Amino acid sequence: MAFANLEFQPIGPMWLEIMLAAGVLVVFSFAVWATRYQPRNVRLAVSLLRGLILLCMFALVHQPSWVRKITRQQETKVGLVTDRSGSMQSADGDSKTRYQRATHAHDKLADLELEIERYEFDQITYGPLQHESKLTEVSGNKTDFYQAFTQLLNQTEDLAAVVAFSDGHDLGRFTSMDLAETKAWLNRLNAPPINTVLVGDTQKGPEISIHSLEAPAFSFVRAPLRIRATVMARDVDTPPSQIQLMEADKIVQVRDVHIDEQGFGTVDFEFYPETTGEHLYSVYAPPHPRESNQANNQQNLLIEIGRDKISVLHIAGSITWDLNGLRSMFERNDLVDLTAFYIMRTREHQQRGVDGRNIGHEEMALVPFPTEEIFDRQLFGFDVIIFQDFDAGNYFSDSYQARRLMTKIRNFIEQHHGGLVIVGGPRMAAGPSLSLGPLADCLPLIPPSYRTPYPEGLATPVKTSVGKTHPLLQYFDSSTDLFRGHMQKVTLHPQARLLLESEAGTPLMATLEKGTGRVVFLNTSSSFEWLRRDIAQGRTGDDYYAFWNNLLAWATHDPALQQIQMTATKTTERPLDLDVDILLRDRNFVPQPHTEITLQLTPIGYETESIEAPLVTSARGDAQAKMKVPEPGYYELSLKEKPWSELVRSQILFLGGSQDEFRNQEPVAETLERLANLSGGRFTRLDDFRVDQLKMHDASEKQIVEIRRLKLRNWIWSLPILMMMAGLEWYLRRSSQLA
Amino acid sequence: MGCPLKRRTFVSLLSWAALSPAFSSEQDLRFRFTMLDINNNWQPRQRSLRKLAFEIQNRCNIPIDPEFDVVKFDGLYKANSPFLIVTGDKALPEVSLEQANLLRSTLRSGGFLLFDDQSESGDQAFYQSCLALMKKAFPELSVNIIPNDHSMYQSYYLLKEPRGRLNKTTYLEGWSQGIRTIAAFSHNDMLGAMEADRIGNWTYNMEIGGGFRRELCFRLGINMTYYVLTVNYKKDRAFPPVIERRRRQ
Repeated sequence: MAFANLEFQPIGPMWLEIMLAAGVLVVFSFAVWATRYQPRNVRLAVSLLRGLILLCMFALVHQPSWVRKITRQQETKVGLVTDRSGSMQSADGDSKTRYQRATHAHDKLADLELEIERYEFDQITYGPLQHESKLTEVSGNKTDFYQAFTQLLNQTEDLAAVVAFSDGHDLGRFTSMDLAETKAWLNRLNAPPINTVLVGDTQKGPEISIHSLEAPAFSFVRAPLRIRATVMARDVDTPPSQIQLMEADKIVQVRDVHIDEQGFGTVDFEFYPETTGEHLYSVYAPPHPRESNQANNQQNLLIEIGRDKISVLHIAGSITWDLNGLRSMFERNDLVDLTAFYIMRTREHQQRGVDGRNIGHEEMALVPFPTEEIFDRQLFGFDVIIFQDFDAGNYFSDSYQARRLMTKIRNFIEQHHGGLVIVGGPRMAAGPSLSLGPLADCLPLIPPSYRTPYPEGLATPVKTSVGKTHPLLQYFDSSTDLFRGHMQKVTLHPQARLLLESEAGTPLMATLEKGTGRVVFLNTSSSFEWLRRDIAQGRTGDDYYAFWNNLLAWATHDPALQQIQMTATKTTERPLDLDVDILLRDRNFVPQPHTEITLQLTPIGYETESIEAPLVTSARGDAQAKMKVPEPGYYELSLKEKPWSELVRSQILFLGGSQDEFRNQEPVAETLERLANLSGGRFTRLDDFRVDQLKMHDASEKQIVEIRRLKLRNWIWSLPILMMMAGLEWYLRRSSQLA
Repeated sequence: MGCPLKRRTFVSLLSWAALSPAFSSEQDLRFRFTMLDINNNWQPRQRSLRKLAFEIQNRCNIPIDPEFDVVKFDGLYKANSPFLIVTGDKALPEVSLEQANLLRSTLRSGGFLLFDDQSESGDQAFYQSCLALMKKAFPELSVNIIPNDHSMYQSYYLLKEPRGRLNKTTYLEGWSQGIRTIAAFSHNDMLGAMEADRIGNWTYNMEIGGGFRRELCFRLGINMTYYVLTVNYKKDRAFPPVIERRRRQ
């Protein structure tokens, strides 16, 4: 069915319209008056034609449009839409989840005479479902009303109404849209009345909660990480004054908070993560004594910490070709952020020119060693410290300062996941022994307490049983990479692992894991010769660079160089499932075939049992497992048995879709109220939901399917019709006079 | 009785034994200069490197061997301290492709080559032959003037321009690969200013100036040595503001 009408556009304000109409009337009056000498019937016809022409012109000025609407009878389907996002998993203290309560309420719609189409949504819309949903568990994905309803209303044209069951907890664009924008969006979609039903209970009484957290999902190690927490306090006399940021049981930071009149307060935490991997932080607000729901006083946040660059502090005690080799290696490696300090002269070196003049400090490009700046302020910002032939004890001005700085370096290693690489050389051998200072217990190779002999003859290194499989020596060829000079009489730390030794049994390279950090001791300053020898033999020399890159990677706990490699993979399609690949190697990096191990997923924050997956490794030492958790949450993935559990760092994972959805599960009635009001629907709570109160299009109403507009000013026949009328007027007037 | 050894003969033998490359100790980790022998006239500058090494030993924290090596192309791979020096006053003989490749490999693995021109003003033969040698070894590189803010002018001493026995140019020229300069050309006979006899008398007079100008030649030599060993260390973020401030003083 179609009906049509004519639409005009005003040319301006009302006074202009009146002026124009008056002008037309004056012209028409003159046109009638001018025909006073014509015969009566001609005069009547000509006046009529002239009036018609003036009227047409008056109308054309107002941009007339011919509007034709094609309509059809209103359909009588109702869209039944149910939220299946992560927050619908919440039970609100009931035995049934919000999702289950919503699906049970669907039965009330059976009384409705209209046809029902079922849909479900989280960040997208699923459906129409052919029958009652088989999706008895929530997806875990986040809720996005904007995306979901855009999809729904674009794919359906014949809905008389929509009934949406949700907790109103939106994480999409809808929440940030203002009223005008929301109206425009609903108009664009030609939305039917959306009747919204709030599922979930809001708390009453005193309430303090972490309302929201803002933080990047990914950050970098030793780079500033900012977390912003919004705290909400309702019906409390004394709002909280301090908020804690915690990682596991350790308090990371405590910040003061000011709660404003609206009951909200914002806290900014900023700190520097020291290790890579997944970190689970908790923001905690102390509860009110009479607060009934204390679960929302803490919110968790899983942030993955990666590494963009390896921050290296390179200190060299003498300027040698070995320094040149290492410096060139750093300069060609884009992943290294280098801070270097080289001792270019000592007190023994006299600045007296060949002209007999003393050379002033201002004529030189030297900067004093910024001991305080580097060791007191910036030390924990580095990933690795390299002492290259550096007689530290000799350099730092007095024994007190030397001990203090060495103690800081020890803390850097033991408590702050720092790496230390020591390259032994003649200067280090001749200086005060490192074994006398606080650093002694961190050295894999301990020099004697007196000055150490450093013979510069060639020594052939021999890989120890550990060294043969250790990844640090992956690119080391013991037949060609000889040691020109090494410190003698060094002893191996009891917990160190010896990788290389001379044929005479002197330790040449060893590693030590001390506290949270790692230390490598390379007992020679001649590694640059390996590069030269490689090139002399027609090779590229890349093994030298690979050796040092490996060394840096190991010192910075690069997961690629861990004994046990455990890779966990999640998918959005199966948010509660986890696929794990594991490569099992012992402490000496030897793959362990046919070994029984147990993977363990332990829930964090719940006192439920761990999920275990027993495995047997293949002949190559690898194994795969598929695990499934019963409900969304944070889990710790680890190995159960020793010694494997000590060789792999446990991983923290969020399983179950969106952790944003999981974090905040408060029902938000405002979202649903706005959606209902602006679409012409009705908002109700689940307990008050009645079918006879639903708002929907009247079945007798016509639905406009299409609107066609024809602008008459642009119509091709407008001008010919006007000309025909003018021609007829001229013909009548002319023929009357000739007669 | 055998012929008695005269005192003068004994001292002469002793100093010869100490200074002759043939008697140098077994290769060690210390830095040493390496004269590249391409049948060029390097002998008139052989004491200058010892003098420079002596000054480095006194002034710098560089473990250095006062002796220098003399190698031909086929010995380049054995040079453990590849600060190579080519000096002369005549055109160099043309090198083979194999020799050019040897030079290329040495410089690409951290080595450095200094051309020092002994020839008088107007004589371009040595310069042109050096350009040809580098063109053969590094066809992809071109020679450019080394800018005054290059690390070579500020690696140890603050210098404004290069000096030498002669005063032909106020710049060094160089071949750079990425941010590293692998070879430099000194037009002003820098080694000539350092050449002295055994008791320390300067062999050649300076074309312009005297003692201080000669001192600046040593400073340039020391800076080059530091540049070769520490590369662009003085371009690290801690140094440019300090160096800029001192230069303005």
